[in-house]
Amino acid sequence: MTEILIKNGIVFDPLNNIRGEVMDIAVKDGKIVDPSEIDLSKAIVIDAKNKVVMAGGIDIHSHIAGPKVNIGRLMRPEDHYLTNKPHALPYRRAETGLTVPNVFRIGYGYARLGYTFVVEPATPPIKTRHTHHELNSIPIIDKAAYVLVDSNWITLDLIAKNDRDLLATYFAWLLYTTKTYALKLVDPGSDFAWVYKGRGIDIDEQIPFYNLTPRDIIKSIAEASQLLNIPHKVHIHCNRLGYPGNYITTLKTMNLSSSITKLSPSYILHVTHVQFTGYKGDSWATLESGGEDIARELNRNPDVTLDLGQVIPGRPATTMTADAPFEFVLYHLTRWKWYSTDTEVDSAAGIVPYRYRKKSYVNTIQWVIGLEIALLANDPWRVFITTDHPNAGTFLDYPKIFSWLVSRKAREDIMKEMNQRALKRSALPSIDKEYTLYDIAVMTRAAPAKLLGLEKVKGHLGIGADADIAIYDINPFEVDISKNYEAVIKAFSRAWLVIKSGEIVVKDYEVVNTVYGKTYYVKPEIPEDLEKELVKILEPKFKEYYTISLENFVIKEHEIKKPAEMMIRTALRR
Amino acid sequence: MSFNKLFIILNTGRTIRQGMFMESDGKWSKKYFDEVAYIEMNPEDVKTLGNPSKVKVSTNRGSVVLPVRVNDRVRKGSAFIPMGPCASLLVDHETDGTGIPYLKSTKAIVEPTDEPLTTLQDFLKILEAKVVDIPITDLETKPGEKRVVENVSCPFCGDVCDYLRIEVEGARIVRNVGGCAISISKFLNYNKHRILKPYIRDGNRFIEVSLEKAIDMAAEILANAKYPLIYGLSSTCVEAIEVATEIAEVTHGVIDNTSVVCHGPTMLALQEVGAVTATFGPMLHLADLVIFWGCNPREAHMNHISRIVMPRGRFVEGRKARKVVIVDVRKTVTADMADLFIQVEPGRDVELLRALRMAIKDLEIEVPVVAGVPREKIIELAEMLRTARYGVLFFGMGLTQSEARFRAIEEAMKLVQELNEWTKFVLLPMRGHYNVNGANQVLLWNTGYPYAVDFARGFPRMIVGVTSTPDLLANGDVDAALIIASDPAAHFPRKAVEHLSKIPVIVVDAKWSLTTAFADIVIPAGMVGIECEGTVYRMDGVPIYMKKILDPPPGILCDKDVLEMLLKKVKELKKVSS
Amino acid sequence: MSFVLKLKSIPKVLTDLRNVSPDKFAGKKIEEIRNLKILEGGVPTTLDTVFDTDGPTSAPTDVKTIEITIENSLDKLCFIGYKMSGGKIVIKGGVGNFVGYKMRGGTITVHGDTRNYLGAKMVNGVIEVFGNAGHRVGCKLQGEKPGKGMKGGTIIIHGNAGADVGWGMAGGTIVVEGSVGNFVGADMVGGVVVVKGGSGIYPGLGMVGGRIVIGGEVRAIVPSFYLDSITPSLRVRGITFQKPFATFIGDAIVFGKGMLQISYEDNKHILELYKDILEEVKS
Repeated sequence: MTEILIKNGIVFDPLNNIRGEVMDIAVKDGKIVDPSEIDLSKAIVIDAKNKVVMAGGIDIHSHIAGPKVNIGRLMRPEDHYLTNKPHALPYRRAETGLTVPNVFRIGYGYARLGYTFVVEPATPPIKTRHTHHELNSIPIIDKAAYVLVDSNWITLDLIAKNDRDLLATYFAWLLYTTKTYALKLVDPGSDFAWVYKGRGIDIDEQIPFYNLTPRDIIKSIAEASQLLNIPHKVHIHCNRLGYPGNYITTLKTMNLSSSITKLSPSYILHVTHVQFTGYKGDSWATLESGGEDIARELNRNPDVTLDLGQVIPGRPATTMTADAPFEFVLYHLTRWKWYSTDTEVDSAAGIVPYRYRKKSYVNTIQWVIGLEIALLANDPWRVFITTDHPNAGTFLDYPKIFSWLVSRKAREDIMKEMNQRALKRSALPSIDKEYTLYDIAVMTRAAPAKLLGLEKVKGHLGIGADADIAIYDINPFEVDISKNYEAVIKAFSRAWLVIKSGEIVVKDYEVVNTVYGKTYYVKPEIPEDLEKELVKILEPKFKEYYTISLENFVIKEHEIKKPAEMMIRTALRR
Repeated sequence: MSFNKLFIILNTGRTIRQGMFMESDGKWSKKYFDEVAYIEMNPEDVKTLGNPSKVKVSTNRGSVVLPVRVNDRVRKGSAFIPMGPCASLLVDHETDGTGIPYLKSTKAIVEPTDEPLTTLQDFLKILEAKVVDIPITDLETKPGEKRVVENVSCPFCGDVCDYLRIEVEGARIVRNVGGCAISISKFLNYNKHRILKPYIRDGNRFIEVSLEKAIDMAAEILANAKYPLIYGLSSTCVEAIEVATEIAEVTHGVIDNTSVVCHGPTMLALQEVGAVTATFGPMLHLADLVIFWGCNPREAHMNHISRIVMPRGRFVEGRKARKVVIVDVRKTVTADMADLFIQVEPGRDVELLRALRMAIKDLEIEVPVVAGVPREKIIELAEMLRTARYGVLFFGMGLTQSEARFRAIEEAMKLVQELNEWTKFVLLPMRGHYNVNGANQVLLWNTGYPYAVDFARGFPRMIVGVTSTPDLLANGDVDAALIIASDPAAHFPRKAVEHLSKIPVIVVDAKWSLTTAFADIVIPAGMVGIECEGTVYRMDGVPIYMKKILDPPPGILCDKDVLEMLLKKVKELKKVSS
Repeated sequence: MSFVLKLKSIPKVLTDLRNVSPDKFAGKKIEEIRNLKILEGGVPTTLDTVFDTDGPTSAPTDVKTIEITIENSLDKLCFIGYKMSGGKIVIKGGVGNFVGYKMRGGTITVHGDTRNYLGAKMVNGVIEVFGNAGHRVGCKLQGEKPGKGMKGGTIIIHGNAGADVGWGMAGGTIVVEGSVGNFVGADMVGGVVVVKGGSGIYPGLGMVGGRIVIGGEVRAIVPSFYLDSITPSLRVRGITFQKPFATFIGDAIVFGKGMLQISYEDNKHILELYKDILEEVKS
């Protein structure tokens, strides 16, 4: 294995409390080691003087793989025209696509940003094998997937039965069977209502057929995740997403954490792409930002984390979500292409192309919400930068978000081009907070690693960590990033050098090597008696509900290109 | 002898017997040829011709002499020839820029004749096949230990039934429980007419060579070609297709799959408007209205109805609680089970779909009859669609291969989207080959496009009418071809097949297809789902990992391994090995 | 200044000649022109390997003064005149796909047949074909919005054209002296298509705006075009038809306001179905 010594870089490593110190980082056998362990006669020495060194970035929520991503590709050939980059064999395969890129652009695109770990946040169980095919094919980055559980008929049956242990056992089985990492709730219960009746529901409305509300579902699943002790507890996309006035639902959802008994360390629930559920007002015409209220609740409630789903104005997007009823609503606004699928007894999904316009009142409010929440949050460890790629924008535009967070001037400059009426009704113009590069390293490296429970090996540069390293050509001692925010955008859009698992994958801003990362998934331990009990219930239910056989549903380890299995000790006893 | 001539509209399609004999006796057998070499006509039309036993069928692309079968299901003025070599000699290769030739609604003249019946040998001669003497061999299967394998997935059609019970005795498959007639035929005859050795062509015959030699020569052909075509892939696993995609990228060629001549138009329509669809589950549990439009599952997807329509679902009481509507140009056997059969004029589906959309939107229909269906009946049907609780529209090649091609599908997709203003309604294309959906999916995640992907410029492009196989072949735009698990010679229009006789062709397949007659190199492969593992995608996108029941014959590799060897060699020759 | 390109070897595969345009020649020496990159199938090579190129020792910088003639042209040659902004290209013989793709000005004349995507997405300029054209003349590409096709300029085809003529066009004029295939003017937003001969099925399917005139027999139309009026004669883009036309407005399914005008006498089989409405229109 390669030995590498990165000399004199300006290191930002929040998990080790390193705030822009000039130091050397050594790499051996894919891990970070003490520089003394390096054999300088054969090591590659990289001069990182005047450059920023960080751990590889981690994206906790980006739609990079799976059936709906692939249909997005199919549905948007016009997205690929003029975005092509020819291959440079044997080092780099051909890239295409902007909002719904091919697997190579996804891997290389993230690598060029200095990101080395990305999570696909929604995979329906029955099609998760497909998700793994794509994850297997994405080069360079490590990956994982969250499995959709909230509208699954077996989940609902078990919740209705009120058997907490059995529900947790089912999830343990499902996570391992589908080789996924965490439990995902999308517009909880609504996909059942959508498949059954063609509509979505709010948090306290009753789901048709079942005597349950989304609140019951969230609570039950969150409790099960406590029992399971999985590293990332529940990942929630709130009800009523995309409807004016939905910030109330978001606040109610965040508040639910107080009713969950904490059995396991780390946060109780994560609310994802909160921008889409941060709408105040009772119609699109009276839309306002609920950002301040949500940030206040976040600051008050230490058990909750959020990611932004930040809108990138002036750029195309493709909305794709397991929130099928929302996509139906959006289709009425765009009246162009609409894809929707009812996925077995698991879930549903929708896709609609969209473009956020700077001059649009609604789009400006949406842009404001994400930034308000990020800037008003007291604790950068609990706010994550995402665009819910490709829903609010593509991951390729993350550096723009960095610039808005570190520079008030960056915000002011773009605000000149945005809808002024919307800005007048927002708090954002009066916020003067500016984050630092250290904070950015928290939000994009350290905190995500912690949220995923991977802080031992990911998200930092301490000894023993995986050697996933990004070096950016910017010197914060010389450049005032608050004023010269363009320098931030430029530097973070293309990492100067990236190391993945100890191999150099990006050099001089370009991908030079196609390697493949691991796929992380959990294997929660299940007591034998509970497992037997589950099988007794699962076999007949599966046969009744699903149109494939249980045996063929199970994803085997050999189907994962590079598996990284995490055994989890659970609190399940019977 | 009467000298009557008839002008008819010619349709092609699948039949059960064509499917069964293809699997049992093989494409080179007389039984198979007899099942594809006939014309089915309406009794009245046959009478007009003077009740001949054989007729000459001519189109602007060619003519064949076929025995006549009388069938009152065929509409007067229409005729049916099963898909296969005879139909291919007659259809028009013109694709209207959509990549799919005129496979249905071909104008033809039918007349009684004294000329001899067209034979397989005539067919090969007309197309200038390179080799006419094929060394057909069966794999010897020794009986032995009895085994039962449960939950086996069927590698035939897009329904991928994954609950088969296969009983094995040694190397023999003796029983298939749960499979349809074609499935049984496929499993029990898996050993028939197998390619058991690699071959290269020497003059007009094949000679055996080692696998290494065959791979070397194949790699050389591909590496030296300026614009090679890689085609087929819908009857292999996604793992193999992924390797084939890389070969296309490395050689700057074109990769295409058989969807180009079946559900390619469905993909094009999806590119235009999207779609509303579902997997089988919600249909089984909720659907109270099922429409089959231009498809014939009782002959092409035989378990489809018994899996999704007949049984009881969680929220619906089985067949009696579901209304079944069939829309087709002829009264198919599927139509026999319909609650409502609507016979649409051939090639006029767009008008009928459009009228339904208008009725649903309460727009006035000015004409009293649309596509042979009275306005009142259309309004009635529209009301039935609107008031369904959960409607499903299955469609097949009757729509995709119609003259309107993707626009017919676009209409269907818009209709279903618009119906969702009223109720739940979904549609699903009835995909033919068991992994044609997977072939689309693999290309999508690798290249962003579902088929007809060109790498000439080092990045993917899909331009239907240019980079689609029927266009490339009919216009002679490619200079080498690698055909994997597919039989274009049996299904492509004549002019396209003729080009295969002019360029070097490599065939990778498990069985002797008609395309092997155009091959310069033949490489044997194991059969996915029987001898090889791998994933396939059901028509509704559900991925299923196929088991293997038996080992491949000695010395024979699976598609994925063959293609990996080939890729490695091509990379060496192209000097892009990593 | 005139350049003459003569084929010296016959390409057996589709050949990308997007560098053959006055814009690419402008300001270059003849050696540089001979050295321009072309793509034979997937293999990069130079113009010189396929063509003998004759012309002045260097090309002027003003594209308008450059004329390129391609002798003994062939249906494998594609993308000629890609994005050209001025000057002239004369093609003698048949030619491949995408001639004048995204053209912005100047003229292309083809003395032979062209294949598909002639003048697709063109913005301005003139293309004249003394022969037949393939499918998708002046069209948009797959998956793009209606209106992303031809935006301006003129395409004149003296022979016949294939299917999807003017698909998704937003402006400009297409004139076909012969007949056209199916779906002429589908998803049209603006512009004019004039066909002197007949057409295939469903002209104007999904059209929002623009005008389609068909002087011959139309095989079928969709029911979402509403019969508006009968005109005794018609004049469009300087072309006069001395015969009656039936005017339809559509496509109603997309609330379109496009005008579809078809020859009255040649389309009795269609107008027959509208006879009740025809009475109303006439009275």
